[in-house]
Amino acid sequence: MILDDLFLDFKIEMAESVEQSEIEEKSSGVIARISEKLSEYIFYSFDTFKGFIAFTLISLGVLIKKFGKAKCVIYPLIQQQIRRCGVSLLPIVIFLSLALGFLVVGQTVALLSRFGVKDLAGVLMVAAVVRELGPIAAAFIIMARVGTAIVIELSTSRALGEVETLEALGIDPVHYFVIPRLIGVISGTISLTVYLVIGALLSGYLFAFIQDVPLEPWEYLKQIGDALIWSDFLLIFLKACGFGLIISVTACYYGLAKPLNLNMISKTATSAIMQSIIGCVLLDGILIFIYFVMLS
Amino acid sequence: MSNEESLAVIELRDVSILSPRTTDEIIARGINWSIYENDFWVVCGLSGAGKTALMLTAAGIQKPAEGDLFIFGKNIKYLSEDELAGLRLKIGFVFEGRGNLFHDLTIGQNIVLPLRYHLECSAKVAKEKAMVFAEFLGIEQYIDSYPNEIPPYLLSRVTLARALITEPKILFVDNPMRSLDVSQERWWIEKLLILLKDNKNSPAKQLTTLIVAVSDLRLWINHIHKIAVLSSNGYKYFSRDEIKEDVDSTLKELLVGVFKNY
Repeated sequence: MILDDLFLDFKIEMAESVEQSEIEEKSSGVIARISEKLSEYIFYSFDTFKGFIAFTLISLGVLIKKFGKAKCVIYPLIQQQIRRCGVSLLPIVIFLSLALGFLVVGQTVALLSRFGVKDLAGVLMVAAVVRELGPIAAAFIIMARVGTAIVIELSTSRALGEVETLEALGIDPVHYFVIPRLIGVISGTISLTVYLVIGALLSGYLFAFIQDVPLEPWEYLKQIGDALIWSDFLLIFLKACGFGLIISVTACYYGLAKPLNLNMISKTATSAIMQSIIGCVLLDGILIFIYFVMLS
Repeated sequence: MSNEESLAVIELRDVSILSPRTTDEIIARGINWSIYENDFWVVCGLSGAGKTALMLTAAGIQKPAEGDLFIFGKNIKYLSEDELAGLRLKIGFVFEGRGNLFHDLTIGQNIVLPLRYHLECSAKVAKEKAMVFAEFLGIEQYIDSYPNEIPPYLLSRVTLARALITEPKILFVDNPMRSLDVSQERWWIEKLLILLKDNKNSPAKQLTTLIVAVSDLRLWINHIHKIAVLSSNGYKYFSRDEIKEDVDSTLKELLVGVFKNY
């Protein structure tokens, strides 16, 4: 009996240890798989980043080298892209500036007045709308409306053999496809940022006025004017240029340079937008950091 | 001076050819091919043999995986992109099928695109020149239409007009008669022969060398000088007189019914 009990105990212990080792094996297998996937993802991201940097440098090289070349073909394409990234997006930008004005400026000014610190309105507006929300909101609109479209149309052009055709005709595909989009998106981001900021500040005051906030228009404008310094203009310009560059190059890179698989176009467009968002937010952080270092 | 003594306008030396679809798969190795001025080549082979890949490589559009490609005596390995683009202007290329046209441009804009890009000529001058080629190719009434608005069989004619507008010396035509009826096939043969041989009636006066890829050799057999045959056994080249003596199985299939012994 004792032997039987001992044997049973031994069997239970053995079963437990086997179970334990199986769990350990399974968990180590899961960890191995996770680390494998992670390393694959890191390599893929590094590869994409490397390709993206190379593509950016090639595009900028072509922009400088072929500046002013083939005007009668390239200039209409640039105009078309500026219309698409700037003029045709004005209605949505006006709508968004009204919304921003109401949500941020109108409410903030009303709140500040209630607490008797309405003098801070200008400083807050410049920090929130001019430095931050204006450029990033304009970039997001262009990303959603134009960035996705660029990925899809360039992928389709590749699938239809248009890149090969351009090469056969001695035309640089980067010059024909990328440069007009690069210039269009960058100039569109800059101009839409300006319209968005001006629209938000004006509509914000309008909403504050509707709420009977005792703040005179010239006082409001004076506060904003006093809060703005020359480096704010430089910061907005750099942000808009940088965001435009990131959006256009990412979209063109995914549309033209990545291996093509037609059923992957929608996924590719999503990846391009996600990477544009990450790129813009990172650039925003870097520029704000430099701005504050410069100020201090 | 015989062909062999003159300089080849295009020469492939021990070239490996990549598939245009995958770009990392080599579909043929050790290709040696010399194309001389005034040559009229027909590249034939069964579907999927690699005719398009060979044409794209020989025209300098697709780079060879291995080996050397000389265009007008210059090794393209050592040419910059701009130099290569300059050489490509002397070579016209008509793509297979619907011709790879730009669907956001009109037929006229498609035809004059290389002219406007490289020579920056005015829209009026470019359109006048386009009309000369459009009339020659019977597409003048569609000059202001978009590619999706014209009959599909005319799309490759537009590509031919676009390839000719820069007045190239060499013309590559990739399978122009795919999915065409007999009358259209005859039209293509007739026009290509005028372009190559009838300098008086041809609007492309500079053109001296023609390379056509075909899937059906029978219609061409009485007109060509040289034939390149692509098959699973590799690439073979013949002069027209050598064809009857050859027993290559691919040739047999391509020429079925033409010669008695086939």
